[in-house]
Parts: sequence; C-alpha cells; structure tokens
Amino acid sequence: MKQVETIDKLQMVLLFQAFITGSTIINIQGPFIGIAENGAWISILLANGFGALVMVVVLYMYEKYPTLSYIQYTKVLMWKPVAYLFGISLALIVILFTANITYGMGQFLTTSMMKETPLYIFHFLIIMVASLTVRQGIEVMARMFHGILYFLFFIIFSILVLNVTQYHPEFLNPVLSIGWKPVFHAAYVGIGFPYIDIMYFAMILPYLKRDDKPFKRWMYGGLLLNGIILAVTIIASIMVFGPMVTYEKFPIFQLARIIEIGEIIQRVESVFGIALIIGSYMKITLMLFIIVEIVTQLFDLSNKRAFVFPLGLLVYLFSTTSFNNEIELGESGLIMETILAFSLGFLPLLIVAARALIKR
Amino acid sequence: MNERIIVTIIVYLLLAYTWFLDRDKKSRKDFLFYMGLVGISGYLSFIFISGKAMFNLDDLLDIPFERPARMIFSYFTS
Repeated sequence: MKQVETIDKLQMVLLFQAFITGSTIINIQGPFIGIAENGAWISILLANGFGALVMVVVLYMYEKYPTLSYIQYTKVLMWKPVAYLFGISLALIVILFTANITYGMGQFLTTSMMKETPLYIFHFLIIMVASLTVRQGIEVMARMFHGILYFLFFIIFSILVLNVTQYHPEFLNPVLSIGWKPVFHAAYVGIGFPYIDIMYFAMILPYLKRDDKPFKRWMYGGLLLNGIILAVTIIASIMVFGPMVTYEKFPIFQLARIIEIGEIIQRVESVFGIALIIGSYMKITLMLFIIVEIVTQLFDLSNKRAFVFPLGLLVYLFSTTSFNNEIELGESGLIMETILAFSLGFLPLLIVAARALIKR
Repeated sequence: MNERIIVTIIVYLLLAYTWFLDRDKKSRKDFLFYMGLVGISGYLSFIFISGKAMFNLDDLLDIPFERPARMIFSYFTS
C-alpha cells in the first residue's frame, strides 16, 4: 500500500460494481424468491430504489468533502465521542457482515460442490487471499477487479443465454400471488443486503483521482445496472424452475447446472461456480479493505498495512464462530441485517449529513 | 478438533510472518492496538477450537436489536 493511492473514474465505477454485485449474484435470488415468490424481481427493484437514496447521501457528502472518508468527515463534523461511537458501531457491523458473506460463500461451496470439506477451510482460504490482495492496496485491486468483473458478467450472460430454450414465460404469472406484503418484506431484506452497503463505499471514494469528467451519473448507472442484472437473474430462475424455484438455495448455480447444448456444452457448473465465487472474493476483499480503513482512520493508526492480517484473522474467526449452522446465518441475514445496517450504519450517516447541511 | 488446531496454528504463523514484515513501521499506539486485536482473536480461536457456544459479536449486537428486528419480521410474516 503506497501512502497516496488514487484510482481513475472508470476503475472506481467498476470497483463499485464489483462491490455491489459481488456476492449478491449468488446469494440474493434464493432468499428473495423464498419470501416474495414471483414478485421477487419487484422487491429487488424497490430495494435498488432505496439504494439510490443511500447513494444520494453518500455522493452529497463526497461532493462536500472530496478528500475525506466517512470516518474522517464524521470526526470533523461531530463531537469526538459521538464520532467514535459511530465509527466503532460501523466497524462492528462491517466485520459482522463480512463474516456473513464469508459464511455464505463457504456454504455455497459445501452445499453445491465440495460437500465433504469443512466450511472453515474455505473461510481460511478466501480470507487469506483477500488479505493478501488488500495488502497490495486499492490500485492493485482496481486493476485486478477490472478484468475479473468482465469475466463475471460474461459468465452471468452465458448462463442466461445458454438456458434460453428452457424458459417458460408463463411461470412468471401470477406476479403477486401472495400480495404486496411479501414483496415489501423481501425489499426490506434487500435494503440491508446489499443496498445499505453503498454507504461503506464512502470509505473508498476519497481514493478517486479528481478531474472534470462526469462521475455521479456513472455511479447511479452502475447501481441501476446492478438492479437490472439481479432482477433478470431472478426472472430467469423463475422462468426455468417455475414454482419449484422456492426450494432452490442457489438458483443461479442450478441454472448453470442444467445447461445442455447437444453433447458439447454440458456439466459446466464447476466453471460457472468458480466465476460466482470470484464475485464473493471481490466483495470480501473490498469489505476487508473498508474494515482496515475504518479501524486505522478511527484510531489514527499509522501503518494500515500492518493491520490487514489481524483484522482478516478477526473476520475469519467471526465467520467460523458466529453461526453454528445455516439457520443462524439465515436469521442473521434475513432478520437482523437490515435493522443493524440501518441503525448503526445509515442513521449515523444521515445525522452526519444533516450536520453538514446546517454547518456553514 | 485436530484439524481445527492445525488450521489455527497456520493462521497464527501467517500472522507472525506479517508481524515481522511490518515490525519496524509500528508506533507504540499501533503495537498496543495490534495486541488488542490478537487478544480478541485468541478468545475467538478458543471458541473455534473448543466448538462451544460462547459470547460473540452477533450476541453483542443482538442485545439491543433482536427484539425490534423480530417485531418487524413478525409484522411482515403475519
């Protein structure tokens, strides 16, 4: 990690896309369809709309304090103990959510591909690789994720296109078979994961190299693209599996599994699975980077690089000890995550933004 | 359990290696904070190896937020 690192606008927008789409592409379809059934795609678009609101606040603060991160302008604007309270609570939830994502990735591997391997082996490997990447700094991450993201999008596009003969559009009806309440419920879950995550990105924005080229519209465009991609994957899953889709934990992986084009393209799920894991890897890496930024800036620690491994170790140990089984993970994600992210993440950001608004 | 101990040892060896890589660049404050993190990791490693259900980060956050979270969940699922 160099002392002063910068990345350009395209890299920042692609990092944002990797951050917001990363692990969601595996994890979101199952819970959303489980709650809202055929209306799940409406839920994701509603949650995406809320994500736009979060982004308005984040970009407003960025415009006002372009060289400062969330922790730094909180320290400038707020009374010191309050700034520490906001910072510590943010660090706690980001560590917990990174542990959730790590567990989710491990669960994906153990339930779909390598069923005999213990979860903690996957957690250890992914956190180790993520820590090594974070140690290299944001510039290396931006360059690396640039290529990987294109590969991820290519794989998602391939999954959708290669299944085109299996689509049954009639499965999409009735859209609101169980009414609006489950749709709003799924949207509520989606607000917690992944859309409040946008505010954690306020820790990365100061690394942007400033010039006159448009930036905000690309960030909004990236957010909209993310909503469309997730909605399309949900619609594709429903069109292929019909009512049975609610029993699939990872519908996008099942979509990859059933691809069969003659005798040439079949049983390609492992290759597709690798791409989906790469999505989680990018998300975990960026979350770990954000944790390091939060902790070192909050406590004014001089050497960021030195704290990557101990914080990575903390995330690894939380991911292996916080949840005894996938039911506990499900409860954490579906019941707790939104209220935690809203109360300890977004609400403090709103208070800081309000303070910035009234301060001349 | 043996496998868990082996993985934990590997993790701490890696940590020790990075500690030596960065040892010249740490101030006293950094050192104390670093040791605090290692201390918390030690506690979590004990939970991990023993496999016991003990107090953890999610339990800490559950204290103020579990009740309202479950109320919202009940509202949506009722």
